[in-house]
Amino acid sequence: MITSRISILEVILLIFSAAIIGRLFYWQVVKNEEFTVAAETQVENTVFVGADRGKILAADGSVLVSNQKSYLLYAIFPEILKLKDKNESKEDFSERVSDKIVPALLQEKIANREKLKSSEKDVLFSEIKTHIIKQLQLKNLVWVPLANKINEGTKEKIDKLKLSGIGFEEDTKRFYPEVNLAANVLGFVGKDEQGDDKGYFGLEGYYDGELRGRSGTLIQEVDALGRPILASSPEGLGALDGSDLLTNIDRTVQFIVDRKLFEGVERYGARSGIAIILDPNTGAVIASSSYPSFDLLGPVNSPTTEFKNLGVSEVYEPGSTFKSITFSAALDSGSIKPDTICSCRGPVKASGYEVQTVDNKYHPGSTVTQILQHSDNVGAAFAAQKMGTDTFLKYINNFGFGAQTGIDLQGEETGIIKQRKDWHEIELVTAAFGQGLSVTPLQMVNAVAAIANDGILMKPYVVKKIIGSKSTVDFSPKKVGRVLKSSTATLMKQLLLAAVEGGEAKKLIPHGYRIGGKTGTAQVPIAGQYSTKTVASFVAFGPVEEPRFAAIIVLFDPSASIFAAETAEPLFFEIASELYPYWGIPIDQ
Amino acid sequence: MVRKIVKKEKTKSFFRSLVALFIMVILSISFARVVFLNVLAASGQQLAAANQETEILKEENQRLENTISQLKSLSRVEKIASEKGFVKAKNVQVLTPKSPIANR
Repeated sequence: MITSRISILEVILLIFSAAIIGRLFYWQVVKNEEFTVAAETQVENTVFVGADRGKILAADGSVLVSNQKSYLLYAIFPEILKLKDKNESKEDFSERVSDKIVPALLQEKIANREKLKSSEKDVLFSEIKTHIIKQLQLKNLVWVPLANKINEGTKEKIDKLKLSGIGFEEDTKRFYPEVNLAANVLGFVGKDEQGDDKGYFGLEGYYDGELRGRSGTLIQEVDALGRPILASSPEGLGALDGSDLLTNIDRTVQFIVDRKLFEGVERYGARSGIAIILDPNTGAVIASSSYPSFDLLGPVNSPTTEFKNLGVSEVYEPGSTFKSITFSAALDSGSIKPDTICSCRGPVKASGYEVQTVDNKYHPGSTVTQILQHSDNVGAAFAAQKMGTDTFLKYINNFGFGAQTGIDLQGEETGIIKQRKDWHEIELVTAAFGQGLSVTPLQMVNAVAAIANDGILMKPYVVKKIIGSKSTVDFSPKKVGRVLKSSTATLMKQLLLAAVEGGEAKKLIPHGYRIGGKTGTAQVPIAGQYSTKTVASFVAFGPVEEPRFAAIIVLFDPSASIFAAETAEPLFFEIASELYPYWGIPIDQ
Repeated sequence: MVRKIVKKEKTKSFFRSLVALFIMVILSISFARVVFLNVLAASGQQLAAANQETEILKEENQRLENTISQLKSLSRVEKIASEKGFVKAKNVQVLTPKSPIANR
């Protein structure tokens, strides 16, 4: 009896053991992968650590671009549709919801645009509303984004509406304390194909890799309540914040230049304008302004043509400003001497063409100084012919024309200098007064800065330091090379001073300012022929004895007057009259 | 013979003490480790709180930095100066001191 009971117990135990072994086999072998993953998710917490994008700082360390917390506004359909009345159509419901949300979004959009007209506000309101309605009417979706990068204030306003199904996801966005200052130098941050932040144009585009940093992922063991367990160190790769850029931009100078250029373009009825201020001794870009410019707070609303920094990407025929290069080359090569006299009796004939002066007036027996003061095309042609094509072309290339300067801004053009085989007599003659070749404003001002810098050409640069969390990279001024003898540079400085002081705008020179420079009024070629459109420019440096800055002002198609002496040059003097006291440059008494 | 037995007993006793000491050390270390791990594991909550606090302070710091930058912005300073009645000076000139000239 006892034996049979024991046997029954043995069988039960055997079955029980087999069941346990079978279950263990199922868990350990059959479901191994599934349970491994489940266990890992229970004991491990994977945290995505985003990297902060680096800041962009002005030369004095003040912030030009930083980051601020922002939110993605979204709607969850199953939730938000609970707010819909039974008899209400989806269109009416979308409109009702958008009417509640849009005022807060609009307020953020117009926050820094005091000059916005009410009609423009209405357009903006209807644009935002249309977008929200369109998003809310999307079908077969559970979640839809309604607005990107909204700020905390706007979030709070929408929060107060207590709309169920409306939510927020944390994000960051760029913050511009100086609003649109130096927009074309800074560039902006948009999205790439993967939806990640990416810098476009200017410094944001050029230094995107340094600014964006590296996001990280950390795997930390956690307890049942999700709290980290310190007994084990977290695994994975930590985030590395983006580096900060310390630029050469002087925000006060940039502020002055931005404003004056805007006023100048409006006053002279120009299509667009450019102003660049360089330190001729180092090549540091102190200010660079293009107008029209885009809105940093909403670049998507601006035409894409306004994103470019025209100072490096606009190519134009420099006109008479190029005579400063022609005479530098002619004097430096010894082709002419300061006391060389040009007969300059009438038009120059070359390759079957006749080249005249602008006013068809001629100045026989002109000296180099007088040629520059009269901006005499015939005199410039005379100097170029004395040099010959090979010598002139060598100097043009040495001054950096026809090649990128290597500035750290996105979208730099090279300009157009024809190849040697395409240079005939007419190319030589017209190039002497800056027609038939194209340059960028940066190339032009950098070349004249070389004259101011004792004949040494510097590489222009915007960023002087990249400040990373682990290391710092310093950019020191870089010499490209000597393009003129020191004696020629000294002579050219005096000739360009005389050109300004004896030029048409001499009465506008602020008292005691010793500025060397050259005006240029160039015709614009369209479809192979010169049109009535013009480019008025003035390139200068000052003070002549110890140049502190080199500058260029370019006005495209000014309608008030085509002449640079009546537009670009006075505009430069306005800027200079603010820069001199700001920098404490003493006047010549 | 007696001497040998006494010596053997002494050696045995020493060996036993050594084993006992060793066991005690092991037990103490194990106990200390358990206590340490327990304390460490419980600190997870503090760590999580500290991390959260760091994040909040970082955000606050960023917000304050942005506020300072905004308050320092040139357009704002100009606007306030204008509201307060400040007028931009025109024709400002910087002069260098002239060299002293002896009368005699």
